[in-house]
Amino acid sequence: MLYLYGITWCQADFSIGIAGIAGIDGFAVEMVPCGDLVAAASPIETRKFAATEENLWRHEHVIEAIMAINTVLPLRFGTVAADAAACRHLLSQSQRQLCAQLTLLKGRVEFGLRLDPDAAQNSVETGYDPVANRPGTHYLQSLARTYASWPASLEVTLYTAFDAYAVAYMLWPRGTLESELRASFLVEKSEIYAFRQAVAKLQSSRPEWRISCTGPWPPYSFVESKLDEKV
Amino acid sequence: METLPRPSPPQRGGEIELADLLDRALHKGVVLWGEATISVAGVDLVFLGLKVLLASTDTADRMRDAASGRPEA
Repeated sequence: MLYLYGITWCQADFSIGIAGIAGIDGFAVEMVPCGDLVAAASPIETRKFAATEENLWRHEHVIEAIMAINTVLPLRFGTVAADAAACRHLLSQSQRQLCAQLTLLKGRVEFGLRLDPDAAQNSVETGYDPVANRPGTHYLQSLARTYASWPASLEVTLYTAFDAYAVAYMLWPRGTLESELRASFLVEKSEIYAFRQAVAKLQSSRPEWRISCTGPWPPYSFVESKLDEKV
Repeated sequence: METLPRPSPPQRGGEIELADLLDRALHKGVVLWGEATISVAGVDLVFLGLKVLLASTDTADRMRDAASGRPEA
């Protein structure tokens, strides 16, 4: 049984780059080549491996180690194949799409941004009147806002702040319980410092917002997650 | 010349980063179709014939609800 981490271009020096990195449950990571591609994998004893925080970070660290060497397509956490032959079959059946994605994401990483606009919402949403004497209406309006998308003005603010440094971005669906806006940005490695600087500039210009930025991540949010069975 | 604020150091290993990693590793990333399964702790393995994709407990809950005929929350 093999646990699979990510897919990248096949190249000779990968075994050096991933040497000593512990995979899921502490097993050594190996590369399974198939044509132009290679999958990072490690043996696991059972399909029902422990999905602990430790293993989640091991999944991430393996992918980040590959990312330090070459472009990587991160696989979803928990992907398991029966053996190396099954892994090669998986790669071969989607080879063209995987290669296209690797080409598209070359030299690019993902940043995560969390922004709590609660304090700013009233100033961002022009024309919003909470109708103080009608609590039912106020409640329903708040509920409607919860299910609605983020205010367009907030999106424009993000776009303006990061357009020069991000190749692409996406907003995560607005959660019913979360007050934070979550966004993912695809950034060229050469723009990492500039992107972080733009985050700091936005925070500086809007001190009432709580902004947090994480990354660089492998480009999880910008891969095509569902591949055709056969291409 | 405008003086730009110094960027904050990247956060690693904190609660926010863990939350962001969970968002990405469980909900995003490539899903391979075919002879692969995805297994996540706290929920049973979900096999859909040869096609298995399970991203998160949320997905698992929806699949379980669908299987039991319960409406989605």
